[in-house]
Amino acid sequence: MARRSFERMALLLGTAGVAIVGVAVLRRRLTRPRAITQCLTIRAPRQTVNEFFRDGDRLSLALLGAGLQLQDTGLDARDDVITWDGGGVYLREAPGGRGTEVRLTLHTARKYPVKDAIRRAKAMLEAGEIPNGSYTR
Amino acid sequence: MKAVTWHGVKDVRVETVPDPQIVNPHDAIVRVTSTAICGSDLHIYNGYIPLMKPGDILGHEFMGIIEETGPEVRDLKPGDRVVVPFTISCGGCEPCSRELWSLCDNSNPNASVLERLYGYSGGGLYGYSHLYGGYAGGQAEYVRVPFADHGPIRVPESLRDEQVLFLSDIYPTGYQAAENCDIRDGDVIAVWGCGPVGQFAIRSAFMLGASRVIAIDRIPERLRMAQDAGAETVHHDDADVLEAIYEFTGGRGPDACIDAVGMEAHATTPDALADKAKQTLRLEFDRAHVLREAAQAIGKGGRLSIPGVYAGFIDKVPFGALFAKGVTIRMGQTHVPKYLGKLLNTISDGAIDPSFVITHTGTLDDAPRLYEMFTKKEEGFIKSFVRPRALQTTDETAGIERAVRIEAVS
Repeated sequence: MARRSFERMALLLGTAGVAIVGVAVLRRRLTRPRAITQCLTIRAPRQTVNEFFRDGDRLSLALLGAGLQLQDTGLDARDDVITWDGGGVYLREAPGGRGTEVRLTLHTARKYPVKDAIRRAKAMLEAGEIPNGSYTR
Repeated sequence: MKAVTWHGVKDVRVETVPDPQIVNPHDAIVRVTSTAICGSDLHIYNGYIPLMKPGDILGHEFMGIIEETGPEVRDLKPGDRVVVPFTISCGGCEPCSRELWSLCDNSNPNASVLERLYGYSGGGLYGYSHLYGGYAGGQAEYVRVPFADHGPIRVPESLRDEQVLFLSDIYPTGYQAAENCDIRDGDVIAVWGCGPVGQFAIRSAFMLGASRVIAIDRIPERLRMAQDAGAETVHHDDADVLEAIYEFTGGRGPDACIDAVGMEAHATTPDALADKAKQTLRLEFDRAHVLREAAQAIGKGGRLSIPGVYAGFIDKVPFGALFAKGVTIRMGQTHVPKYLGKLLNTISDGAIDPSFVITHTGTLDDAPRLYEMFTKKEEGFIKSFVRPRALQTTDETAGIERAVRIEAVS
């Protein structure tokens, strides 16, 4: 009888231990910063796209609208790479004169809508405004 | 303003809602002079298009007068009389530059939702759910028109609304369906569905050089209207459709087939009944009876053109038959602006008067009843032509507050 209750207790403790360790590991994995990269092609020359992403105000508008925040406006920019604290944009000419391929990478602990940020930049550059489905302001 | 709003399956209402405003710099506000109910509005009415919200304003076929323009609108000005395409296009992206206007990269603010479903998103559409941007539709007194410089076309005062309204959708849609058939002289074209798009597809097929058109439907009035255009007709439920088509084509099968029916095919065959059951249980998005029949009927090296709307997954389409016969399939939403100039000329020249398709007229107040009549195909209903109440000037000047009754056009 005593042996059976000891075994039951050990099983309970073991299960609880595994659960606690599992949750801790999962939490660590979910909150660990990781790189999220998304890509879209923007119908504009590389120089124009480069200037857009080097403009802190316009970049912030694109990122903020997608629920992101520019952490550091101290940009380190080259012709094809623009990086800032926590992220970067990589530019490459698209084949067939179709504009510029834009890869946006953000190091983030949460699943942010990175593609929406590029999409907003694309709309600003190609259409001159960000689309809005509302019919009143 | 007054508008037709969606509240649930088979529940549309006429309500007073806020007037639209200029939201973005490339917007215009159009005072609607005429609008219509489209067959694809019925997919919403019957509950097959997801992401509708109660109160959403319906309608994507409309025309009217520009009331106001945003600061960045260059080509249009207040007072211009325009027809507005049902697709919204920014004019600056790669698809727009290639005249693939309905595939605009930038006009759908909810593109990420559609991307999860389809891989990529098409452009925004008026009054066609939040999947396509949540834009308010044109069954209203006023509409906000985004990217106003790209799409809307000015129309001459010499043409009546009834003649040009259908440039917004069904005439270009029927025309693109025929163009996608890559018609050569002497070709025989089979058209499933003699609703409004099918009617324009039949006439467009003849315009593009088809020698014979076979029209298939189950509603006598629609078949009669197809005969008026010169088509030979097959009553879907009274004949063996495949046998009839083989007979009409000397055993070769049609050179091209047009599916102008789409996701809500009606038939009494076992596959159609199974589709209906699966769609009701949400095990299947679309009822693909017409696709199956067309795949079987089409001749070797044929072209299959699909203007009928499909939304998702379909079962038991004989893909092997299409493969074995080397069939080319072309489909998609219509790139309306691509066709506007050309088709407006066909109306101005008198080559076609699109008002032939109108069977019922009414006002916005009549919309709930018109939706019901359209979905039940009552009283020979094929196409409605709807005036907003605000334009009933005869009644207003007489001081009579009454809705104009739904009138059948003889």
